[in-house]
Amino acid sequence: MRGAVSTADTKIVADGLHFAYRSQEREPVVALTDVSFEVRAGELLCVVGPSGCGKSSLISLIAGLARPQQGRVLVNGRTVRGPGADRGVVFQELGLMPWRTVNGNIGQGLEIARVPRARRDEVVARFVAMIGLGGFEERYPHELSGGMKQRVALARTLAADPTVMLMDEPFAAVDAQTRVTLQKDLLRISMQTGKTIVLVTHSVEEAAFLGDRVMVMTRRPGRVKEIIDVPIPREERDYDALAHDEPFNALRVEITNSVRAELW
Amino acid sequence: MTGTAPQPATSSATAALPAGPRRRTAWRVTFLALRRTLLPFVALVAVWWAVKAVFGLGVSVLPSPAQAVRSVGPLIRSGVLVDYTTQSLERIALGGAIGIAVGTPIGLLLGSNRLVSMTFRPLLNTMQGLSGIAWLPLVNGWLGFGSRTVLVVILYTVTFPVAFNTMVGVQTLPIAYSNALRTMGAGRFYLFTHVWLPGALPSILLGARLGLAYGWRALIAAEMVLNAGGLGYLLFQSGGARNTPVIVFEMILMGVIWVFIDRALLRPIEQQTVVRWGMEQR
Ligand SMILES: Nc1ncnc2c1ncn2[C@@H]1O[C@H](COP(=O)(O)OP(=O)(O)O)[C@@H](O)[C@H]1O
Ligand SMILES: [Mg+2]
Repeated sequence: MRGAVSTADTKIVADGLHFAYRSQEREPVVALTDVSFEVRAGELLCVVGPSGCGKSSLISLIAGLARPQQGRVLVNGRTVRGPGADRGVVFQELGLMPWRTVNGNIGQGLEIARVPRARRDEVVARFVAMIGLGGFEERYPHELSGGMKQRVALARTLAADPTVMLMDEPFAAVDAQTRVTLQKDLLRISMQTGKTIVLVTHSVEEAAFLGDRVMVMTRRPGRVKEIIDVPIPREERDYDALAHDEPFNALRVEITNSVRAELW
Repeated sequence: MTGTAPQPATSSATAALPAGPRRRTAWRVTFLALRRTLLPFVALVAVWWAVKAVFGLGVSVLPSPAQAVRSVGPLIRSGVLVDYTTQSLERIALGGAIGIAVGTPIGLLLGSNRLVSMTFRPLLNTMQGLSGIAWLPLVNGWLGFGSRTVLVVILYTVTFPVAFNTMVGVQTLPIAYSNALRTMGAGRFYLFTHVWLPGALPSILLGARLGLAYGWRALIAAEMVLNAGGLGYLLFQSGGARNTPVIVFEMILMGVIWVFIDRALLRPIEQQTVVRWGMEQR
């Protein structure tokens, strides 16, 4: 089966999650209901579903930024009660600090963890090189293109070295070429670091290309519709090679149809 | 990540030009901006002159621009102008500094906690309608005629706009900033100093600008009433003596000093922070 991950144990458990946004003025909006699934350690799980089905909400629940009204999330067997540095998030809105330079943003997680200055600079320099932003270290986010900002956000999360990475449409805002580069980088990093990754995307293409498994969600209130295996080792993932790979194309069509059935 | 060559979002095309024409362009731009800035002032002086000439107004009603400017001589020679200006500047500096130092943390606190802000917002709003000068009779009774009373009035006038704007600044900050840092293990104090304070800076500076402008006006009014020195007191004295050239000169001076405070103090801070970070509000 899935060589690298088949023997590893469970990292994340979502157990009967029910989550609604409540406000005084309006009816509660149920974003998720009866959501249960597991993510194995070192696995890359992609989540797809129609817009507004609760994908970002699911990321918030695992990150501990929001609490479910029913059910619970377990990470490493412990119930999530709040955010923690073990679970890094790459947000859809990025959330880079405009008042910090590229270096300052990438090193912020290490600063919070009180990593000594010298060590911090070392790690930051390594990640700046990795995302190809040499020469832009002292620039501020507003001076960068969308793709560059995206890469800084990715590097910031990686530099903090969480064991779980939660990524909310991380490549949505970048151009097609950069997206492919970033996707390859992510595959390489995931193989090198063994991080457990949950990646939300609206692109079936991306989900099939990156995921060890693809979780399809129903329209709101979001439930787990099905989880589809993508039995291709990560080192064999290559857009050119997979373009003519019959089983892969069949999977892609299967996932596409599954998501399409959830659109109005 | 080698596939894509990074490109800055803002290209600096002018950097490629040779130094000569570029400098001339810069001078030209400065000159045009200056001309545009001065034009309305020149027009105002012209109107002032014309009104005086057309209606044949004597100096006791309205001095000419020249008379106003000439009145400076004796004021400077006697040392009065320098003393009183210094006194007023010291007061606005001290009152402004303390007001900003007090108003900012209050605003951060109010902005970072929904319950606290909902509780205190009506009070804060009410106080905004109550000018600092309204406190004068009461404070005067407590602290007497003097610098301390003037200072309290300025302090009050500066603190509220700063606190109010800081609060709004924190409340309108995108939640993504603090969420990003919380997922990296940041606690409340870290968020306070590393998200709310820098994030609210555009609003804090806006509050400071409003506060100092109101404070400067309140200062003049308080000094007029209090007989405690300063430009306001000089203005009051000149009024009593019907010395209109000095009155008008002083009015001009107050405006000029305000522009100086704004240009020399607030703008540079803005340039170094908010503008540099691309956070200026337009
Ligand atoms: N802060 C909020 N208050 C109320 N409703 C919200 C809020 N955030 C999201 N929602 C609603 O919850 C549902 C799920 O949102 P979200 O998790 O962002 O979906 P997705 O990321 O899949 O597009 C949507 O219908 C959205 O309108
Ligand atoms: Mg979303």
